Amino acid sequence: MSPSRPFKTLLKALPTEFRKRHHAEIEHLLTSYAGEKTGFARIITTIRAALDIAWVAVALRMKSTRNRKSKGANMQRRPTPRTAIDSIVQDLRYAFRTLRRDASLAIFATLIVGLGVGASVTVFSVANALLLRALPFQQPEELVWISNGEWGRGQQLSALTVQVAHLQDLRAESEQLTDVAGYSQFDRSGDHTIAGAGNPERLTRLRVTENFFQLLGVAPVHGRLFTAEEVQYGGPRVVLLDHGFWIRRFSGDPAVLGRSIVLNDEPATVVGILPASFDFAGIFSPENPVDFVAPFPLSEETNRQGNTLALIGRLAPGASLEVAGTEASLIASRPTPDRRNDFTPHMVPLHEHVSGQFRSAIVVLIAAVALVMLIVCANLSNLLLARGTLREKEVAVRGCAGG
Amino acid sequence: MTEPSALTLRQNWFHILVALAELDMHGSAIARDVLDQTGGSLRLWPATLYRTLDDMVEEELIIELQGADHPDGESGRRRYYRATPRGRAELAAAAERMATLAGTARRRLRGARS
Repeated sequence: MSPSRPFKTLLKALPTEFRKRHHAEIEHLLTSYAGEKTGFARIITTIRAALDIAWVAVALRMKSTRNRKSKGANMQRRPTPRTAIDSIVQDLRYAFRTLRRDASLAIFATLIVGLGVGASVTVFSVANALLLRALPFQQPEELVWISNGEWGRGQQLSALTVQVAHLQDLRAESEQLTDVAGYSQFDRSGDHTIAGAGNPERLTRLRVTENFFQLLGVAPVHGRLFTAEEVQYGGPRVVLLDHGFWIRRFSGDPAVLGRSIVLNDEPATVVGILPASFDFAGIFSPENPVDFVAPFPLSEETNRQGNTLALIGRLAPGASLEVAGTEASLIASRPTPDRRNDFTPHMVPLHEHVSGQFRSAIVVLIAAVALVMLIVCANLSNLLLARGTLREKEVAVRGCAGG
Repeated sequence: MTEPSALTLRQNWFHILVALAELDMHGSAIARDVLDQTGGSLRLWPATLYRTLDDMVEEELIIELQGADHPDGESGRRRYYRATPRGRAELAAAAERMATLAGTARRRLRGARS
């Protein structure tokens, strides 16, 4: 077995003279060492031999540079580096020497650059999460947010949300939307308590309509979604657990499926675990992390509760937002036999609803950070320019020496 | 040139001189002998071995033999090395230092037991 191609390439890192003298014997010994071992031990031997070659290559080149330096005391020009490695080693040595000579400048420059880069990375992470990255749902470009009037103009929540009957009409009659789902906007943070095994804990519930997860294209990692029977008014109490809550409270134990947990003194059966990628709070409600999800029945009883739902729809293939909005307005304005709250459908793409609230703030933040980065660069250039004048003598000597 | 007793032999140098104390050897044989001397605890990796041999030639502790001096039947392809008188003197001095040190250690251990 002869040394592999990577080894032969690595041998080229050794100085030419040394390599010419010894390469045959080094290859022979490498082959012999590798041949003594098998399996994992052979891999370790190979890595150890490769490190040895790399270490000796560096040591010999540093020695050669030291020798050249001592011989160059007569101010003769140094020979041009023969290989790329010579040149890199020489540059690195010079860079470290310069940094050590002017440590205060090096520390200050590092701090300035660190500050600028740190701020830029932080703001970019936020911008990436809110503005650039696609929503973690199936074909997110088809998803629309449907509110009662324009969202975010200081109205009360009950004026922005929608009554159950309007959702049912939209689902049944819209041709521009393949489906419409909703979640309750009136589940308050920490309004449930879990008791039983472990310490009691305040939890936040989210109630969603039967088709909510199907519309978003979210599937549970364990268990299943709600069945038709479970989403009936007065149906069996069932819950889906948020992934984070499942890990925190149940240590990620899948055996919790089918078990009963006590929520507000009433038992509820765990039927599924949501995936970690489903971050409801991060997308729809930044201030309210959700711990578990329960069904919201679409029934006469819930309809009588008035405006309760935030709606999300999925546009049909080829449908446009404008046409879908007009169609929804027509459906909503049609006279109905029962008495209902007003509904003025207002549709925006879901990603715009999610990022829209923060867009202007983030853009301002990005501009501020860009300005900070610009100031950092300007400061650094000033420092280096000022330092350049101090190197006048050194440059003059180098010029005379031809270096 | 350094006086024999003033030079502290590095570990690799010491073991290579021990290997060459009796016989002239080529690199691979030296590496195997060192492995045997140390019960397998010191393996001279190829690049380190030949770098050390070059350094020792430079320090005049060993010499590289010319083709005509190679042992009988050996081709001229492999480089053979031989300890120089200076190398042998350094080895002897180092062995003496170690023996003295070992004697001191034994004496003190005996003193501690009694």
